[in-house]
Amino acid sequence: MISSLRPAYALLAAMVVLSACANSRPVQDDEYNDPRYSGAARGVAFGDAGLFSIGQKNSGQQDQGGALGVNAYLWRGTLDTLSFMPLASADPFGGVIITDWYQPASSGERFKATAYILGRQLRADGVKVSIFRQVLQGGQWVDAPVSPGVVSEIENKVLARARELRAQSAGG
Amino acid sequence: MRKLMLASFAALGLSTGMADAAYLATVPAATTTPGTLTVRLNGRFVWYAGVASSSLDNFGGGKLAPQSMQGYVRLYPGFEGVLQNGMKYGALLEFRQNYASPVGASVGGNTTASTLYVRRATGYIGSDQLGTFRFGQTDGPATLFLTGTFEGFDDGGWNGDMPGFIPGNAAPGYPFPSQSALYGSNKVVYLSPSFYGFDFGVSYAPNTSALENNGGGCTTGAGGCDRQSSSVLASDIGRKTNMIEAQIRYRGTFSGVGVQVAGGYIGAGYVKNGGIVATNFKNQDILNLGATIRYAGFSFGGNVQNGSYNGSGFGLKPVGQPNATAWIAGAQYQTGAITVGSHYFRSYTGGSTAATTGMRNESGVAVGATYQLTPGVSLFASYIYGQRHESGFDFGTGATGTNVRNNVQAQAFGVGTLMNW
Repeated sequence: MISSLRPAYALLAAMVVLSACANSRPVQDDEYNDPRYSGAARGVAFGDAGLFSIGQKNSGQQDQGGALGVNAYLWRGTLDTLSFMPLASADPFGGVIITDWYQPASSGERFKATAYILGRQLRADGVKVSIFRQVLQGGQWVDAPVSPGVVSEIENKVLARARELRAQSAGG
Repeated sequence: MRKLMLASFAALGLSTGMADAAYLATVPAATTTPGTLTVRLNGRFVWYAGVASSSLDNFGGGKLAPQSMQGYVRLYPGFEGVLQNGMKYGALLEFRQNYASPVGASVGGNTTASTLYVRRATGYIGSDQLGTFRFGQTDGPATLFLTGTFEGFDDGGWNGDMPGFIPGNAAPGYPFPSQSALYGSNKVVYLSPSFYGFDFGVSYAPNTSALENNGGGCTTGAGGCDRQSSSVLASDIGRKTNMIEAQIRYRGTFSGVGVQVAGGYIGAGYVKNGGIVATNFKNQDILNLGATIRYAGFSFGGNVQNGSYNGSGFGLKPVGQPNATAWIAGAQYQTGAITVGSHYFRSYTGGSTAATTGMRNESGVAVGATYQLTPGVSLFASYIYGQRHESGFDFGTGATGTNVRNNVQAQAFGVGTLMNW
């Protein structure tokens, strides 16, 4: 049995080398058919923060103010949802996405968005979006109110996309 | 503005699918912060009520009532840490409940007879770039990469706990890898990162022992040791050795259609017969392949396995028996908090080792629905039906050479809840 697997060993060795290439990404525990994540109830009732953590206050990255992990699905869902606007900055550790101004064609208005991923849990209040709108008046951009419901509409789109990504990555 | 954005969303739905794997490479992992250590105590509580009937409900002068309730609790203590250099490490245990319910015991006796035991015990070390090594009494790649069996509705269909309502001899055995016969052994597992949508895993277990430190408690090499390669004990000769699992998986999205394909090899040797009269076995060599296609909340697919094994627990095939085959097909639809799904499987194995019996032919269908009340809490309803057939075998008594009760059926319906914390 063992000797018949030599080609498989060679293939696996090649794949180990390939796995170190630039196009690799880590596979998270919840992408496997894992007992903690299988079954009908997706997620956990108290989030994934754990009972307690030690070491954060002494972490060098914490001192630099940039060591906050955020929920990957909300992060990806937000990037997906806002990707039609030019991206100004995205901080994956702080969970902040800031777009540049986006002006729809043939319009006298432009928009800018800021999104905050608020933690590691995939939950409905885990993302907060702010939309800024300006209109062109006399050759100057002037702040203007955003239509009611736009912000919640975008947040709902982010949550829907995050849930879709979560469902896609769950073991089938 | 809203119309503009909605239009953009629509266009996005078409474009994001193009390179899911490449896109995911840019995504930060939601893991423990470097330089920290997180302690967890996750758990699961399941309860459901059901009605059931089977061909073996009226048997030997006794009779079963249709209604019953069941459930269980599991605990998952563990910790995980990340060093400043990105190396990850941790350990995870799974405590389960022994379902002790001695006949004739008092209600209080049933509760005190239940104990917790360690089902899984896993340590791991790894990094995002190099992958992860897991070691201990844990799942191998055949379980971790299992694809196309559609166990994500109710509490798992035929791989859930609904079959617990049915007498064991009347319930078809679920033959696919997510079972203790594979994950219960002490092993080392390597899981690769994903590259271009592919990831893979390999595992090795020298024998069937669980996590223990007494080598099986044996006194000499004659028999009973974990390390037996040959033995004069009949109980040793059916044990597997050098258990290997190797699986590769691809996940990608094409024009909004998600595709997942996984397959590979499951193999093992066995403890040789040291010269006694006993059933002799063959090496275990199994190939398996599963696929799932997802689009807009709907997914369907299947899984097939074939090779030299016997029964539903990846047992060794006795010399002279034909190879075994099993396949499963399923579909699932998720919209909002509601998931509905179904799977159907068939399994053909050698069955009884007696020469007077035919192939064991088993099948089962499960239909279920889940409503997710909130993250971690769901309500479900499930129906399962199954049948078993083996010419020359009595499923009631295990006797061979008779066609009495060689064909049995069972069904169960239940509603319940599942809570994870």
